[in-house]
Amino acid sequence: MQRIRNLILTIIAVVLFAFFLDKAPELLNGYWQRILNLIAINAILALSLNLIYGITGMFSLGHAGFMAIGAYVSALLVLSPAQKNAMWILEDIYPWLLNVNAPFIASIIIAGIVAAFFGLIVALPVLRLGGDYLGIATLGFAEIIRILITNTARLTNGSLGLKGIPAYTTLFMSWGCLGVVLLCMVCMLRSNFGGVLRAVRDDEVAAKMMGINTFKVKVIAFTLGCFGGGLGGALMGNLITTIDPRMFMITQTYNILMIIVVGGLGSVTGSIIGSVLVTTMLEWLRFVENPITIGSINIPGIPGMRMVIFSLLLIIVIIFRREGIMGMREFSWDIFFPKAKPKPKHEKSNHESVLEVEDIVLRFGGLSAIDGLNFNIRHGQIVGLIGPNGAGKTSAFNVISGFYKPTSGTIKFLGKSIGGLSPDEVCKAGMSRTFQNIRLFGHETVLQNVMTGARIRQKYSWWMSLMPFVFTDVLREDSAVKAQAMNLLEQLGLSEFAEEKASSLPYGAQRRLEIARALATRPKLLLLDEPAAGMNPQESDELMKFIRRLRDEFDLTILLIEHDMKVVMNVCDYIQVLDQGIHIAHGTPEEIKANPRVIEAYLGHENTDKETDQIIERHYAKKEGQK
Amino acid sequence: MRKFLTALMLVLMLCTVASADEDVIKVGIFNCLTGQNAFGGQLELEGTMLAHTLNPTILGKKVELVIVDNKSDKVEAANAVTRLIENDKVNAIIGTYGSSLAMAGGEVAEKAGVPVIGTSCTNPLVTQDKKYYFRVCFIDPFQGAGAATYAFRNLGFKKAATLVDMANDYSVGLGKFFRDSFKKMGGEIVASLFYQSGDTDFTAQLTALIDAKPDIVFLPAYFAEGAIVLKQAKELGATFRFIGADAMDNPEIVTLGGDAVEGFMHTTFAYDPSMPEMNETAKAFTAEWNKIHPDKAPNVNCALGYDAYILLKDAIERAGSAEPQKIRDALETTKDLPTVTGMTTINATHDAEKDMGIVEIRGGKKTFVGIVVPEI
Repeated sequence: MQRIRNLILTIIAVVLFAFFLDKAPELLNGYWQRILNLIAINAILALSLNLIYGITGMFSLGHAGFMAIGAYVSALLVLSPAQKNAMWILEDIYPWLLNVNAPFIASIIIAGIVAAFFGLIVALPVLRLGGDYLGIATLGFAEIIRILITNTARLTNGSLGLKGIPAYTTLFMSWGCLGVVLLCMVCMLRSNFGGVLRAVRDDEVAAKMMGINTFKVKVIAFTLGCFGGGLGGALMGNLITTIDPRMFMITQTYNILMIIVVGGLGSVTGSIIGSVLVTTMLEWLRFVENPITIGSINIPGIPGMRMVIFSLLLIIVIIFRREGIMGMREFSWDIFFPKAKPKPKHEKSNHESVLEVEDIVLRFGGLSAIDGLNFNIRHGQIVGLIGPNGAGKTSAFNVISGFYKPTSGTIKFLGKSIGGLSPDEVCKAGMSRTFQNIRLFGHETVLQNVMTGARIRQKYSWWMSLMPFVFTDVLREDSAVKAQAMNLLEQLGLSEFAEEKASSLPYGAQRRLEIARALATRPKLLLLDEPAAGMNPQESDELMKFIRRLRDEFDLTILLIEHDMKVVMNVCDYIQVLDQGIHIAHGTPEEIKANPRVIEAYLGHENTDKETDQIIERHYAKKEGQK
Repeated sequence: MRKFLTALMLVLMLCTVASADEDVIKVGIFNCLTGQNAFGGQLELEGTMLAHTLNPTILGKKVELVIVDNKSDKVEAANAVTRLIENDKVNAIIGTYGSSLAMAGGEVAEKAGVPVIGTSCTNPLVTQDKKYYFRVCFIDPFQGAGAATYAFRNLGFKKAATLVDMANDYSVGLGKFFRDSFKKMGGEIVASLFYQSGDTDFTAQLTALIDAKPDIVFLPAYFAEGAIVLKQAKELGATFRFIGADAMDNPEIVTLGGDAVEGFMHTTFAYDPSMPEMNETAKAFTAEWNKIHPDKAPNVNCALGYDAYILLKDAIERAGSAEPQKIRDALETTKDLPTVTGMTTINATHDAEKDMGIVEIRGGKKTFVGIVVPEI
């Protein structure tokens, strides 16, 4: 109902706007039509950079380069042979290029594809870098493109540039392109694949553990963003009707960056608002450069004054709203209506699992983190991995879950070797984990966090999410996943938080959410890294019950690292002990408590044994009492 | 805070409501007043404003200048011209420094049918296929050939080389036309070397030039790089001479370049404050300029800004009307108009045909050494 209402409202808005564009030549003079055109082009550029930077979290400074590629490709395709002949006055044009021609619409699509192709080529080596390094690398790439264009005069007419490009960019063309880009982008971001993009931005490590091939996701987002850059550049060239390499300097990228920062990194709505504001303000502020008369005071015009005022306004925006005008929020018709809550459905699963770890050795240079670890986990067991600080427990987790490659040894999961697989592949094989220091996708809702975990079970490809109304699988699978996620949240007592930001949850709930997210991947084996860390005795009591319940309800096998002896001794069927990388003991809790090596290494002195016993006895007594 | 800002905006908006006046000729000026070309753009604006001060009325009508900045940016240039035509409804436009900006603006003016007079946009493409774009400057092929002619005929040099800024359309064009012309006259090009705008180390190119042993090196650089090239050439002990083009025409060349620019020559428009035999227009211009700017000598950019206005004034007077179409038609038939930079005739491609001057730095002073007729 709500969806239909929103759809109708959207269609009405689009029709009204199309009607306005149709009447624009009568309502507005050429100057304002041009500004309107620029708004659409800037919005396309801002959306595409926002996809790369704001949404997927890759700091890219190369957008001007992709614009340049798009602008040149489109211009070379739409210019007539006669025009080309007249323009190449310094060096002769390549003969084959003279007669290459395409209609405008085809030319801008090809422009986008060529830019995306270059984007892909850049992405493959460069996206292995992160943060500032990526920024520098893409900046360098844009500069290379510009210099290449300058120096391949037979292809591009070098520094002379191209002129007389037919002014094909009409209002309907630019806004039509923006409409398509916007529609695809909103659909994609609303699908679970969009959630995956944001998950990669918020926590790449955790995303990997959710079975996501983060590198592939980043390459896809970057390439799509480059397509937008090329498209925007092509439209720009056909609006200005002349291009040259100096048009695509780093300042061009800064302009787009400014739009998305003002609008809000990661917000589609923000990018649109940002481009409207930045484009109109810059033009509108021109009056401050004219001589102004206020009463009897004459202020002479100062060139450059509007940039000063514009920059001041920018600074004000950033001071008062650091996250930009929209932050990460989006426009929704729902703000005009009260909210309704969806009802979840139920679903069940069953399977079996075994982990076999044989002679695992992990060395960092000369340091042995793990030196010969052997153990088996049978289906349905809860196994504890304990040891003093620095014993190599988390390293063992990282080896099993694929973050580290073992120096030697084999790991078999469900009978298959998983040694050397990456975390996302391990996850797909049926293993999931939590982290010692909680790694949630902090900016996302609780529900989206869980849905991200379910992405690996979805069958639709990323490109289908661009056109969900064609590929209805996207909508169907997403709503199924959403229902399952709500169900999981309910089982874990988190359903009341479903629409809240993950980072706003209380600590205990964040722990449970991390487990819920891990469960969403439907694991057969769950690795819990210190689930009781930071909990008070009452909370850890609840946790113990919770872990057993998890095993029973979800038919899981669990391997857990824990320092809280009470939890370990109570909840585990079997215990493995590590000390300084050496596997010193294994056995049932009773055996471990009696093992002198463990006591020496882990508990320090013998008294502790008794203390532990006492704690456990007291605990059981309490439990009996409760019954 | 928000209320205060809103109030401020309202006040500013009210101030911008312009009065519409029938008996006013509106002349739009779009030039680079900020950004990387601001230096040239501002000098040209000052020249045009001086011409306006001296000729505030044409055909008895008051002339109003509407000045917009194009920020040395193509998108802004197109916006600026659109604004002048659509919002301010100007009768004609003057501008700009920088050929790429002129091309972006020219497309808009062409469609709207408003005549534009370019000041120092020398790329041949600017007026190519344009009915409404004119210019008071000569074009790159003309100037490149002029430098070659002077080097070959007047100085008698037989071996030349070029050092060209690859990223600059002006420089690339001039370099090519110099080489073509020099070879045609029977000279030899011994080296053709390149750099990129913004480079600061030219020793590699200069060493190669020294090895190639040219008599003269053509350096169609902008002043920023040109001055460094001359300085480093002096340090490396280069013995060949340098000749540049009008972008090296800078009033401060001697103060900035010192010793290193001694003997440097450059082609320019036939005007320099040091000219011995100035025409009447140039004399008047120099005198008036010095009155307003006693501490700053005029250069060719100021002269071209001035001349653009004179060209427009002449066309409006001959057309007897300030209608854009009539101004355009009159501009096309401009012949032997006395301007600061010599007699101006607009040719079939809308470029100014005029004399070309050569300036040499002699004894720490810019010296106008003569006029050249290029052999194209």
